[in-house]
Amino acid sequence: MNTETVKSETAVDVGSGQISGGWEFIWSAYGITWIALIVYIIFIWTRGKQ
Amino acid sequence: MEQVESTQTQIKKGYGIGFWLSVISVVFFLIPWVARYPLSNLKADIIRMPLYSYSMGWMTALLGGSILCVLFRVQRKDKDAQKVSLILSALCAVLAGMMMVEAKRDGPALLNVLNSPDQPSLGLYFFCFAHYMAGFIGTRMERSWRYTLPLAIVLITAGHGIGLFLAPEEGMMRDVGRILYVHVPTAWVAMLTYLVAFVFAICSMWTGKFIYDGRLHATIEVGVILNILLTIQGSIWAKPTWGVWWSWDPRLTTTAIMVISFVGVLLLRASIRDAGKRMTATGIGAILAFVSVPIVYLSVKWWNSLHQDLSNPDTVSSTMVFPLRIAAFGMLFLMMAMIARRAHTLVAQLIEESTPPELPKQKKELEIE
Repeated sequence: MNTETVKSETAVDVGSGQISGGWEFIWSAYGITWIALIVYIIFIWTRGKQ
Repeated sequence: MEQVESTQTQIKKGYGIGFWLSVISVVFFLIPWVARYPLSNLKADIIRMPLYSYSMGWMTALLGGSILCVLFRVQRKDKDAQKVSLILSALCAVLAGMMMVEAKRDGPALLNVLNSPDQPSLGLYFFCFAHYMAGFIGTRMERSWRYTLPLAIVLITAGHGIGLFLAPEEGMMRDVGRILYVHVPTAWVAMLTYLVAFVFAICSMWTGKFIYDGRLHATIEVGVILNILLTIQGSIWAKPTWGVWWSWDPRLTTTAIMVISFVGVLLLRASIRDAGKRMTATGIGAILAFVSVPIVYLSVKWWNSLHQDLSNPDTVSSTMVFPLRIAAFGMLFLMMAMIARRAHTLVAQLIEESTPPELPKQKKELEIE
């Protein structure tokens, strides 16, 4: 693999700016939101019944 | 007693009419809105066809709730409620004015303003807001969660489901872009919640009634929850895209100031024992804290920001707009349900606090022999 090939491949990887993967971030964002909302809803409903 | 029953019946009727009118208006909205999504080739024709549907829906939404509210309250000769209705109408007028200014950028046609094909979601939000406020002022708010909560669960499940599994990957962010289907609706609804809090703050300051004070407290609490959530979601999204969990970027900094301001209002409220002073302090605090909301919204325009600029359906792919809207409506109805239920408890507590304790019945004087 010569220098030119390496350079162009690096340029493609860096230049594309695309992010690969990241599902752990997605599940974290959704998970925290769902859990927080469910906990708050349970809190207000139980407080309301009292 | 008869008078009280008659008044309650009037409110029920008023709210019922307002509700069905709003349902009609949302149908008017939904026809072109749904049609706009899958048939992008026919978009222009489809939008042109129900032009008046948009106008009708928008106008009905904006004015229906508030005018009905005014009418029924005037009929009741309730001075406080008339003032509240006036505030609502003024607010609607301001929103309409803002929309006109917004529409002028694309074209001067007045029909654009009413029709607003470029910003149908704004019209929908106005509808929900007007209906919501009409319901609140119609004193039936505390029970509204019975239909808003199931609706919220269905819409959030659908919106998040489509966003997670069916929507295509975003061009640059790829899968990470799916965080936006939870982040953006939370952000929109959090700001809307603060707007509702602002209205309640004015209502409570003007009328001095505990019912608005309790509702204001509930609204701020829900707003803070959503605001904290949107900050966490944004932070999680920032890590893979910006490479950092947090940056002192204008949008992030102003959002932090916004949440701290409203948390401050809740803390201030908790520290005051006297009910009257507490109501005034909360009202003033909420109005002052609300100043941060438009600053957050416009921060990406005013300063150089890492955060994305304000977007609209023309700058976002239609395949992304659909789940975004579904999730946004889900969050909106969830916000309504949470406020309603929380207000139910808080208002009851305030009324209980303000009711003087019953004095024990005087015992018979002892007979002195």
